[in-house]
Amino acid sequence: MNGVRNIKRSGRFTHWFLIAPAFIYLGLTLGFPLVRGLLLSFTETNTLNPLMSTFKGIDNYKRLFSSSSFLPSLGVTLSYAFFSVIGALFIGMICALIMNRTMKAKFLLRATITLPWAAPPIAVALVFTWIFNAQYGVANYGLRKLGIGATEIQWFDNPSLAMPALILVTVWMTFSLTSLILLAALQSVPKELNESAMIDGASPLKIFLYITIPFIRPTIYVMTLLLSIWALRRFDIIWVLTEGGPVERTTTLVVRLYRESFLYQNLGYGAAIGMVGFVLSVSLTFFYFRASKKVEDLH
Amino acid sequence: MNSQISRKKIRQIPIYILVLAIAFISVFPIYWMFNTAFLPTSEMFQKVPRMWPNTLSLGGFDRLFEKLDIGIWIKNTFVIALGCTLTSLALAIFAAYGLSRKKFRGRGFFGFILFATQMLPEALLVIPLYTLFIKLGLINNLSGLIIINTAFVMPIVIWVLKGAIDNVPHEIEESALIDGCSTLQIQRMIVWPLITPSIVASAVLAFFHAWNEYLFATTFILDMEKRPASTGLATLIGELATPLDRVMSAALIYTLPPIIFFMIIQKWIVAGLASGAVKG
Repeated sequence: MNGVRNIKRSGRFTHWFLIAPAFIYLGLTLGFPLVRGLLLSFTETNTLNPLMSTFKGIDNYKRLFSSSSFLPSLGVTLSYAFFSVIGALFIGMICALIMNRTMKAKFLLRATITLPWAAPPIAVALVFTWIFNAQYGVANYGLRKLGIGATEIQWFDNPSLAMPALILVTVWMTFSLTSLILLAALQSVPKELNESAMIDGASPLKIFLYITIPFIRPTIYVMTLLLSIWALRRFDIIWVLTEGGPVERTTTLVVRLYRESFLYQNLGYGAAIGMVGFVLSVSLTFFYFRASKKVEDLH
Repeated sequence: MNSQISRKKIRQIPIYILVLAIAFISVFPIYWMFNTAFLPTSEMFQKVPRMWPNTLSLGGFDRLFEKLDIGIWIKNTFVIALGCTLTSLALAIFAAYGLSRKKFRGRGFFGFILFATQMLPEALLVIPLYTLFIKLGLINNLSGLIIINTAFVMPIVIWVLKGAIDNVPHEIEESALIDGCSTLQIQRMIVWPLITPSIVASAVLAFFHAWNEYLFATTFILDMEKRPASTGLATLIGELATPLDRVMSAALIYTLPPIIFFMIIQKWIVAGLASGAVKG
């Protein structure tokens, strides 16, 4: 009896000892800088002398919202996120459906699509600049062979092609993890459900729309949300492939932030851009949770 | 009967073409890295690209370590990645156990915090962290990168490990508890051995998160000899001094370790990540 009580007592506070180190660490390394970032966004701070800042109120935000480049870079950010997420979900879903159907395809795809997911972004950016090289790149060679595009296409230097090319590379990098996670969800769909629908004479498309999709809807939501947030956060491949160019066509908020803070030395202004990006992520998440809850309520 | 089978086979053909196309597109860029690394420079800039190296040569690997700092870069990357892995695991394994096993008020709140960390743009934090790290002497210091990489990957590690511990049956632990084992003993002797695959998977995730990281590395590291491979390689882009075969050889050395590891334990990593995503 005494022993049992000891167990109970010893268990009362242990969870705090277990979780405290991790969450204190997160508080110090993420929470505290987040608050400092908010404070910095109300100051004028030079990167070369970051410990000296002057309080400027909402000047940075005023400047940002009235600047003629703010809306374009917001648009670039949103369209980059939108198309890269749609692309990754679409190809990822096709790939997952195929893997779920045939064992041979699953074996082959499982092995090969690990590559885009595992390759480091900087190495990916390096090889794609070479593949998309205007004169000697293999992409243009392939297009010439197919009879499309007879000339040397300047992928990353052409204002109207840089964004599509960037989205292509992004989809290449992200579709595989999306597909593997969707596959895990597909495999949790009970087989009997499909079989009984098939016996009732439902077409594969109907089965997909009315059984599969509703069953894996939560996973699709979570993946959409995660992919969107990752797209809003992404810096490495955009910076290395285009540096936000040509003529700002790929300047996302994150690229603008980096440029303002570390090339033009305006830390305070950069922090203000960062806060706007953060608010964007948070509102997106909030919107998703509201929307997914509404849909769940309907069903 | 026979014609039915063949008709079914014919209908399968587009799917097989699609499968081959996806497989080709996934492999090709990595193959191209490999191909370029072994091509002599003379054969590289031609109207018709060479699809495979036709002479057996070292290509870009010839005196690679003399010509580029790739050895130093990889060493720095390795130090950062190892530090990040050990710190993340040490912190996450207890937190995951606490979140999985102990029922207490505010548990949902901590789960929310883990998810919320994924919303933080690194680019927002790089600014305040830059000012903090200058004060603390962590600029131009590999420990600074270990600290911040850990912060971003540890929540994912907790997520994966918590999912694994959730699947360990309570009963085993309860009997050990009655036998007088402490929480730490229970974890070490019962829980950890049972979730080894997830521990390995999350270690690989943490390791290669730090291995790949670019933004913090490029802002916090100023000295050439402290650069990790990600920023070192990025400096080669658009620069004409280094021959392309050498650039691609260096990129290949940097790319192969994550590819090999992810190939081997892909199943475990996906299972760990998916357990969270599928449950919602």
